[in-house]
Amino acid sequence: MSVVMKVSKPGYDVKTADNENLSFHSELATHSIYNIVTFTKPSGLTEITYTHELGYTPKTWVFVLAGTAPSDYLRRVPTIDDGTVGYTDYYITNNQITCYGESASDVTFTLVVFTRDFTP
Amino acid sequence: MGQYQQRINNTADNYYRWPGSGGIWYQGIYLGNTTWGGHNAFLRFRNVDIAQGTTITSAYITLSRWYTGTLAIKNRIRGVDEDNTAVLTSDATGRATTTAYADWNPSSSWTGDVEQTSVDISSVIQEIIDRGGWSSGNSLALRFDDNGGTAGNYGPFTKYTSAGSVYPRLTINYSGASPSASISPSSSVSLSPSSSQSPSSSFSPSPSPPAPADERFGFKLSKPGVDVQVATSPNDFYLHSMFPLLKVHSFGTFSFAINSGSKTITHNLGYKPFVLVFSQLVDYNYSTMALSVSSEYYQHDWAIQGASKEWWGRTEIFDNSIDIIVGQTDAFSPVTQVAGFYYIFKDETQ
Repeated sequence: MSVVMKVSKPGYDVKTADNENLSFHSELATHSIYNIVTFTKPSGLTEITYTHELGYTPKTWVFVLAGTAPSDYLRRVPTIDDGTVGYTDYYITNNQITCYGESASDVTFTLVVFTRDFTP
Repeated sequence: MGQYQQRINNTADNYYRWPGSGGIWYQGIYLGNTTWGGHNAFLRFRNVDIAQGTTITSAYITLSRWYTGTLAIKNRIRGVDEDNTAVLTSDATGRATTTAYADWNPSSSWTGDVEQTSVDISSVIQEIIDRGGWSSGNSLALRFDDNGGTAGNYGPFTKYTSAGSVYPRLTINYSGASPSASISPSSSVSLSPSSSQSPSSSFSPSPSPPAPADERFGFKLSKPGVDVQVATSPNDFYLHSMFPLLKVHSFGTFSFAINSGSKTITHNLGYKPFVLVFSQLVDYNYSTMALSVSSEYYQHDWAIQGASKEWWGRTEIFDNSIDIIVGQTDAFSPVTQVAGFYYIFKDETQ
């Protein structure tokens, strides 16, 4: 039997609580952040790559900056081409995360790279 | 005579700038010369407990790589010429630097996780703590610039995976009175269930962590079959206090009539958080000439394109609110409701 660690919500017995009433269960996926990085794809290029060198494919969220300061805002990637930042997308490998932006202008991405891969 | 050491333990304090307009990166530094130009990197040390005017007899930085290889780099190390350097939240290459500098060309042969010690940078440290506005407990930053390294020789020199030894460390040897610093026991991790889940409780940037044993403080929970004492990959851990957990700021459901155009949800964080929004999708059925709303929920960045009507949805994340928008390309203005749910997550680097 493996050892697990559980933390239940207030009012629930940790020994009997269903998963939905747990604040933490070691065998359920948690989202620990490995890195948060922001970088800009220069104009003239369509892709920019971040090298994480983890050796596995980490779960990653990517956001893109749109609009003009001070009213600029983030959108979650991928985005459709709706006239704001154009089509954006990304893909993840064992060592890199590549962000794609079709816009000819600079495109600024923010990556949230988690510690874990896609297995529980 | 005394010695002060501090190892960086905050993601925001490892910072480098990719050459050209490649952007600003945190939680690690790259040094060396790419084929596009040289890196600029910054290391920030918080709460440096050295009194103003203390005589610095020697000082140095230790760096390591986490894998073995050959890498010939050349660095010029300067200080950020400020009384109390704040978090480097934007491109810091325009900041004033110390007159003093030291050139360090480390051995090109790097053994994984074995630290190399820089040349003496005492003149750089001395210039900062001799500033009129410096006082014990202030923060200082060092800047590393490529200084004629071989093009193509560049790489990462810090990483938050191996336990401790790969973090940059500042060592200051001084003469005269010792600083008043002591390591508060409260900076070490508590294993009580109520507090051990929060990385921030175990790795508070203030006060300075104990050194060199700081890597032994913290909380790790490895996967079954993985030795928690030897595991190095972040993927081997269910929990590791060096890696902060993603924290939910708020969440909820929403529903609004699409003729109103959008739904605004206020979060008041003062920065752009990470947000996930899913919503029903709006479509127009040309056979029945009727609008329909899906029963499924899609990431709220969708578009339905037709011959005469185009519907789209997107989420815009602002500093204090998010706008959940549904739009269309013509004047059709139904009062149909669209529903969905959202999660707003904190950004630990803010």
